[in-house]
Amino acid sequence: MAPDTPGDPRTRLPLKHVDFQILLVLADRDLHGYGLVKEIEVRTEGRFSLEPGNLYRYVGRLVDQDLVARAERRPAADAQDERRRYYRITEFGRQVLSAEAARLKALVEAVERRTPLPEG
Amino acid sequence: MVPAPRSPWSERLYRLLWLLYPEAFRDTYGQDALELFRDRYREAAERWGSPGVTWLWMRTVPNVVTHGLMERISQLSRGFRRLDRGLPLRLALRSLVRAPAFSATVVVTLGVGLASAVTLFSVLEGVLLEPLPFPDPDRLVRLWEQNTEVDAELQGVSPLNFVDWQRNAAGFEGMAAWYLTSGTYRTEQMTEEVRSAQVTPDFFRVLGVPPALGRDFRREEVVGYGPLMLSHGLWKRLFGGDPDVVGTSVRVSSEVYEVIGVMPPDFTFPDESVESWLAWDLTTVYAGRPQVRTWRFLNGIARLPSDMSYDEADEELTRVAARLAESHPEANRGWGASMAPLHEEMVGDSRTTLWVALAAALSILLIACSNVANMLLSRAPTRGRELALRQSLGATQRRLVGELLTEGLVLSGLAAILGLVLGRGLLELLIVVEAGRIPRIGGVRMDGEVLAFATLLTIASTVAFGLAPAIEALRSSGPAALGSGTRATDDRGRRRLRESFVGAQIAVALVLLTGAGILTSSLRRLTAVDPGFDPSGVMTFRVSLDGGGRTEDETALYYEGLIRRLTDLPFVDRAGASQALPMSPVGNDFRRPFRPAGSATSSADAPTTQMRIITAGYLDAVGMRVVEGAAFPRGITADEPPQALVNQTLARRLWPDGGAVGGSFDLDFRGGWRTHRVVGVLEDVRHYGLRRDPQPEVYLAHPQAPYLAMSFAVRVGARSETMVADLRDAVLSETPRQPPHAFAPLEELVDDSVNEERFLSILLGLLAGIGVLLSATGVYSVVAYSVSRRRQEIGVRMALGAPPRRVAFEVLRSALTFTAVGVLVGVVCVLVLGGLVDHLVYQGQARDPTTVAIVCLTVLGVAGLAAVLPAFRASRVAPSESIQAQ
Repeated sequence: MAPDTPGDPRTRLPLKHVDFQILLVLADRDLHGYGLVKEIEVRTEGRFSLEPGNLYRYVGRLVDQDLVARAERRPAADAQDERRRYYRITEFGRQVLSAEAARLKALVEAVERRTPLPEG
Repeated sequence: MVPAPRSPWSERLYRLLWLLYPEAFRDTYGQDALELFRDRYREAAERWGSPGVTWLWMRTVPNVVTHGLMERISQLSRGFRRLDRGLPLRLALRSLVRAPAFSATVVVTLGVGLASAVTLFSVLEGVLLEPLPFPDPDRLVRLWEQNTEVDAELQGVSPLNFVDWQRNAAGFEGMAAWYLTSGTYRTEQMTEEVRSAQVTPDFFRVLGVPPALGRDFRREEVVGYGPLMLSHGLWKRLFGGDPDVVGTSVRVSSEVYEVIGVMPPDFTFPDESVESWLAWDLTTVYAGRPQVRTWRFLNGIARLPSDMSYDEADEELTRVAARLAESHPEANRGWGASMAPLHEEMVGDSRTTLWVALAAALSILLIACSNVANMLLSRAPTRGRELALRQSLGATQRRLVGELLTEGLVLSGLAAILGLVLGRGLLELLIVVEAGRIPRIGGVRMDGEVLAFATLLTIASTVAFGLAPAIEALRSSGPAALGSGTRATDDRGRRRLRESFVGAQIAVALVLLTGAGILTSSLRRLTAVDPGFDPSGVMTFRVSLDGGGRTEDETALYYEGLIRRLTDLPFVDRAGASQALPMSPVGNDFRRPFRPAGSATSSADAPTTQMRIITAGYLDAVGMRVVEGAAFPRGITADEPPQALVNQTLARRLWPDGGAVGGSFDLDFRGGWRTHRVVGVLEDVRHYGLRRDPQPEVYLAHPQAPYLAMSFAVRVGARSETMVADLRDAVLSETPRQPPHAFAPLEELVDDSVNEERFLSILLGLLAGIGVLLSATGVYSVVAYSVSRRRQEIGVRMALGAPPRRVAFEVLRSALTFTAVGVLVGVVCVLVLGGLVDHLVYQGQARDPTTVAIVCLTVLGVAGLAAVLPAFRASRVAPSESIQAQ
């Protein structure tokens, strides 16, 4: 459920992998659906492919949680005469993203130090 | 061919799929998702062409279906979490949400069954049951002439006979006739060829539909042709819906007519393609031309008064026709009248197709229901324990039954929603593809009656599949159920019940699969039929030349010039024209009487032959073959003695012993009987579709029998994007304001001729696939369940030394036993029902043993496969389980 006000970013962790990928891509620049899909495909070398059917469920969830916002419709560079809906990351989204990154980083460091991890 | 980067078709389909998402979600993200799909489509089409697009669809459809349903479920559960009242409903939902996989399977299974049933019921209801959109439609009949002595085929009514019928059949409320043609509308902005009907003045009065704007034709004002009635669509398109058009004059082809009215938007008679109606007075047009009495080309319709029975009407018409046969023996000897209810005539052969399709869809629902019942039954013991616990904590039995029924209602309610959503999409799809060219399908809607049908099915399935398991669950909720022990005797009865459910499913699936198999091989035989010409790479269109002031010679010269111009186009290999192309819905198709040369047979007694008037180049363009003699010589003129080509069927009729080439026969065409010399024999062409046998055909050379409106066949080398535009330009540069129309690839026309067969075969294939899949899950769940219930017993046997392979074999054997019973029942059904659909099968029979055998083996194989996994599991039961469970 979407809370009405964003609280402590850490309460939203851990992020689902797909949410993380979407936020990560949007952190660089605003994108429309197709741009988002392509960018994620490129970054994950095709391991992560989103379709029109599920992309907007994920994005919709992020919008409900105030991590992503719908930007205005504007012309896309790659398609003449057609306007596209853009999406951008919110300030809160950035906070959550960096909190997640910090969490992951700590995790990686833990592995590198060969600290025994809890099973699971 | 590479699909255009943006396909309206695909987008429409995609939008349909999106109906699976909840409305709020659609409103917010629908447009965005469509944009994304568009981009994906463009990428796929541009980079990989058709395979890319196919692959895109293969990914998109399951993706959208799954996520659409998931979004709906999550929205529902969000909504219910907020719900405070309605405790039983909440409890029911809670128990469904607690077993999401189970609930989803039930909802999807039942939903798919309901969707197919609701869709086909909509079609059947809209096409067969819904009355025609006219007042007292059951009083309307179609009229024909028929000469049972010559051949049994129904023919049109000749104008002079029609006038006499109208005059003498006083008991009828009214009669009208029409003939399909087309007219060129020319305004300052545009030129458009419009499909029209020439109608007698009473046409709209007989149908009982007044115009929406303006007035109806008056009998006394019609002399020759005109005035004119517009369809709503044409009025909007050509005149911007301007009400002042009524009363003004418009130019159609080379004439000027007054527009007197506009018909209502939903008036589409005789068919959707007709967009204007031109009043036509047969008496003045055919005055002083007695030979017209043999021109049987009119479509007749009549309205019976409310106090006249169908038989009385038939008798009266027969009497009138008999008198005409006496008074005009030269034209009418042997000819009588025939009539049939209009609705029957319009629906025609689709009747069987639709009933078969509905029966198949209901079978799927049956399989789905019994599958669901099975699933609920298998849960009964577990539920029993839960209910026992709650009973011991103070819940009354009444309340528990209420809860169980609510649960069933919620499940089937959700399934009904899914069924309606899926069904609506499916129906739209059927309409978009004009499934099987079924008449009236464009007007099919999911209306109140369909909703009532769906509700009825839902309630029935709830009661049938909620109640029995509910009772079962309560029965097993006695205090003993609290213990974990289960009793084998109790189980056995339940297992029998479940097995018989699955056996029934298998029987039904087998019938469906046999039907699909037989129709598919029938379709394969049908499409393998040689049509007698080569439709690949041939584009067709029609040119309806204005008559105004052109002599016959000028008409012939015009077409000669046009064909030269078309042949000069770089992509055109051959070009030619005929007044009626094979399998084409546009064209002036007519027959004329023929007789051996020198015979004195009158037109009335002579058999008739189809007429084809062809230009030079036509035979090559459509790829027809001369089997004897030669085609018409180049440069044949009107001054030479008439020549003709005949097809093999006609050659056999006239010269059973051969020797047609060089022979002569008489044809009653235009100026009465004339002798024609046969220059060649053509291979038979299936002019009316692959299924219909060839009919006698005469081919005349266009210069010897010029005809105004001609259908072109153009054989092209490489197909180009601009081909249609180029052909159009070529015609327009010959005659600037004469737009060619009805463009269609010949292959498409041939394809269309087996549309109904293809529709049924695809539909049955699809339904049979679903049926087999559902039955396989049925087999799986029954076997898996019984294995899981018998683990203890199996463990004991293994402990006593039974080899694992033997245990697995026994599980398989029990599965195959009830499958075999199902197969047997199915085969009996095929044998009984097969006879009913024999006539749908082309050159074969519905009870084809090979197909039945293959289907039986397939079903047994699938059932075996479905049982393999649980059988394997049974063989892996550890003997120790027998001890642990104690």
